[in-house]
Amino acid sequence: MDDAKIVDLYWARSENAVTETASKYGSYCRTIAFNLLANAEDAEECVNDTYMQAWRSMPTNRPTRLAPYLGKMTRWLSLSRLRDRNSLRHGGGEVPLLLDELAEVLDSGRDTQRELETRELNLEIRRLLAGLKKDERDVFLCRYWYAAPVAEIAEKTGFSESKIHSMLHRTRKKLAQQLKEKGLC
Amino acid sequence: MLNSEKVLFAINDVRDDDLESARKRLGYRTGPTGGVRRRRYWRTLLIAAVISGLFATAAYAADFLGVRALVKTDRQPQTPTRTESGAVEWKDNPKGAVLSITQPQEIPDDLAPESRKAIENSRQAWAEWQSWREAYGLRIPEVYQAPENTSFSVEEENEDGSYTLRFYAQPEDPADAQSAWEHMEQGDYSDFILLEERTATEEEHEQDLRAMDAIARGYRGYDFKYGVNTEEEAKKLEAIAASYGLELRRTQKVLRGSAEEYLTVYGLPAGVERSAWLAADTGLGAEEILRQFDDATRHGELFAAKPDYIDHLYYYQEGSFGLTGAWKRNDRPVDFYLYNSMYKTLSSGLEVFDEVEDLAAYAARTHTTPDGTELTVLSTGKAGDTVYLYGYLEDSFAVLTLHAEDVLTEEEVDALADTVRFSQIRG
Repeated sequence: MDDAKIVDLYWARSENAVTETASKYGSYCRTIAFNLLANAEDAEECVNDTYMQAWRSMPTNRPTRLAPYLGKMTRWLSLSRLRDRNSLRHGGGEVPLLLDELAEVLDSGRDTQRELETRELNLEIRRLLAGLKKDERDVFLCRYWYAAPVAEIAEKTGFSESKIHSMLHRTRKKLAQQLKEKGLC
Repeated sequence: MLNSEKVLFAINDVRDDDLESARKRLGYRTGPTGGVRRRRYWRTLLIAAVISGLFATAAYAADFLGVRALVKTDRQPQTPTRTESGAVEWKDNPKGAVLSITQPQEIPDDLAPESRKAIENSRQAWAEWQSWREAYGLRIPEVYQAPENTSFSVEEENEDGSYTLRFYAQPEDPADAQSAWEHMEQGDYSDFILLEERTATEEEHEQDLRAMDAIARGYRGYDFKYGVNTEEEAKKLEAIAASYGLELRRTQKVLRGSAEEYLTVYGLPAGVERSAWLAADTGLGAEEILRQFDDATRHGELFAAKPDYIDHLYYYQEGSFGLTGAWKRNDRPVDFYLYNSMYKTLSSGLEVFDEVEDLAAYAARTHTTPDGTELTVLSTGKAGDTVYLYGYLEDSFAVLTLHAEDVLTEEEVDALADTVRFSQIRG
């Protein structure tokens, strides 16, 4: 069933909306959650919470594409679960590695003059991504959005792992530089 | 929150096209994957059911069936595994099991013949219903089923009364995709990639309209888990149920819990203002929920000591009900799910189910509650693993699940089970 019809089911408050969503996007959302949580049961709970959130958000919202719409919900719920358990840095999965890699962007050891709001950071990240070449952008998101291991990214893109590491390093540097120029760190 | 953690959160909301591009790079597909799909309704709120009370006297002393009473032998759970590159793959887990919370999977030797027959009939009836639906039930015509990667479809009527269907995907390049969607808002979708073009007959077109309309409306009057969408399907379901002497779960009633009581057990979620949390609270306290349930059904008081929080209670008129919430014990939440399923109700056993990764890890014992109900208790003794308790009552099968982040001791499990008055669940 295409996304427009699934969204119509939500707007019609048909319980089949969730069934169709689970059928089409359950596996995708579980993969996102599992990459972050490294625990099948927790991943499943986050996916079920995603369905709930989708049900509450439509109507009001009418997304044209459900994959990114639902994926963002699942990812946010998964990260929030880790944060609420104080497990961002200590949990299984890729998250502790991602945080270490991202630390060079902002955690420079210098005193920050101000706390960065997530919204400000988001705007800068969007600007950064808009200026990247497609390969660089894909690799950055595969790593820091989808939390895919470097080895998996290498296998799927055809790039070597060293090239992946190099691309990520350059992109992180660009982001750090961009934030510095804006006086944000 | 440290700044690198903020970056991780801040990345969440990026352009959809960019995400889709990365998704395709990783090969993360959407669409039906086949195999078992987990639907764990632990906190499901969409699927409230209607309870009806059943009169039950003393429970039957079940033969020691252990885990067998819950295991769905015709299903296999899937578990995520990492490939060499670290990619996630979902594969069947031979050590795991799917556990039914809503239907006994084994029948004790000393269960009353009438109840034994009802359980057997329910399984056969469900199989017959599924088989009929597969062959004759409502479906979207194959010609209208979109190929993978379809973003949208367009239908155009032809002069001869047939319909041309075109299925489109968005361009690969994110910038092109963005532009394409913007043009589409003006009615121009020429930038999209045509995946497939098909011709549907007038009959197929009408069938699709009826199917979509029916799916959207749903056929009221039945628990949606039966999958009834049309009057014809309803009649068939009724006929099958009648032929086996079974009842059906019809329209459910739901009583939802209080956001304020939630706070007493779980505390305020991080980053949420109390006023915002409570602003839209229209739920009921646990005491009021149980009082309304008591008024609406033939049950007596279900709990010797009410739970600290009820998330929701749903019930059907024929006797089945589900109830989820939490107690606060030793300064942490213990989540519970209590489900009562009538032997004489047509059910699949998958209305509510759970999956376990290692069935062999579960040890079984019995526990008798103060009201004389014998329960079988299944647990691994490990932190975070759900404890399952079940009992064969006179007219129904009751399952209670308990879950905490740390280990639940035997004493805690028994004490919580003792707060449930299974003898008050009536037929």
